[in-house]
Amino acid sequence: MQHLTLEAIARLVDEPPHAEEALHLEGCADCRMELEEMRGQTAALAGLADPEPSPFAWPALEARLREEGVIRPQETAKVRPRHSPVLRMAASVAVLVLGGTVGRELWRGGTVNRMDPERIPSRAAGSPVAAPALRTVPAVTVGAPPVQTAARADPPAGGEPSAEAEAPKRTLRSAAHSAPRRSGASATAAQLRAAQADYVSALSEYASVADDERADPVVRLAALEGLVRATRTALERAPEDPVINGYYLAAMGKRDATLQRMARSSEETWY
Amino acid sequence: MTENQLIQSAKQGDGGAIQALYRLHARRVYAVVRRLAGDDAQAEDWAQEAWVRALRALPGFRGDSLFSTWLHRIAVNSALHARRSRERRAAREAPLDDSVPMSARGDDALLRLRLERAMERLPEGMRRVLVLHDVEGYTHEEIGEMLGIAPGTCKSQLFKARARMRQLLTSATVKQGIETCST
Repeated sequence: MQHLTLEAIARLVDEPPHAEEALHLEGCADCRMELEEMRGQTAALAGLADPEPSPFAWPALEARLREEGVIRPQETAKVRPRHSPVLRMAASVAVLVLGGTVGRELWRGGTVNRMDPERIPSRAAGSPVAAPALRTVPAVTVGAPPVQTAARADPPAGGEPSAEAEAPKRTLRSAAHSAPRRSGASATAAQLRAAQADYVSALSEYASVADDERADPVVRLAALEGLVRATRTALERAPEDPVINGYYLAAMGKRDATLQRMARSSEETWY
Repeated sequence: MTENQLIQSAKQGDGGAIQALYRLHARRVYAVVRRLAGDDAQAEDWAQEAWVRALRALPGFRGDSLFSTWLHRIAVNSALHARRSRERRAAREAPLDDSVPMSARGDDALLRLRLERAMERLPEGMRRVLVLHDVEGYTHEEIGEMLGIAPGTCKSQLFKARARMRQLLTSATVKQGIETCST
């Protein structure tokens, strides 16, 4: 008898042989071996690993789904989570800090001529840059940039404000020296108010996605970019203010961390 | 959040839920589409099309079957539809230009690669049936329904496909043997 055809052998992977095929197989080592090979091939096909889609497949699909309206356009707004207490606190702190900055600026605009520059040690005279006496509030570290509040240390009882407590004023003073004092103070205050509004708006935007695990990382990144821009603007007004610096660095850190997470998620297997 | 909750949110157009479902099932969808397509570029287009079709149809998903089963079926149908609408390619059969002995077992990564490549070289009809039956595990009845052919026709195509695969892999082995001897 002739050898079994490959198609017949392929059938025998799933079905029992006919009588004459069984007889042939008993006496034909070649066909038995071929059948074993065919079974191995079929088993290997069943065990093939799934190839992975391109990491760029989701962004392309998402864009199309948004374009076609399958993903709700206002989805982010509709599922906007309530702002966490931490973020509300951060926003309050921002108002306090920037608001306080505006207030100090206005105050100095009216009193600067009466202030005695000699009472404030000059940096140019070689004194160390005194760290402002800010109290750290560890709780304000989750999902929000600020790590410090504007709660300055109280001045010693019955005495003058310490040099440390005066340090932020020094910083603001040096910033204000570049403009005519009275009109400059008003302008600077207006700018600070605008910066404050921008900052609070950006912080609010970020807060809307900060606690939402399902938030689109692109949306989160955009919110953080807004926050970075707002703090940078505030920083231009008060470049040496340690609190605003802290906000700026924290926002930058959050943004970088989000970028890193996005990069990792596109590389790793997420299934 | 459970898959059912994700599905409910996705039905409302929740982008986060849709992305989560995508991440859960993208690999399986891509795998079947990739094997039916035969090449990566085509597979990416078809996989995207499959997802769009599935998500458009999602409001009609009632949960009578597993979501994965429902989605997989849509992916297969979508790929088959795309293939039908595409102009038939010229003959795809070509001998493999490099090889691995077929005696190697299924846990051999190189063998898996060779199997994928051999599948890509099968004629369209054979590959569809082989992928759907031997790789994806559909029955002849299910495949017959999907392809609009009788189960007996499906069986016949499958056995031809297995035989052709064997020839492709064996010819590669023979070629390798010749090349080995000549060197």
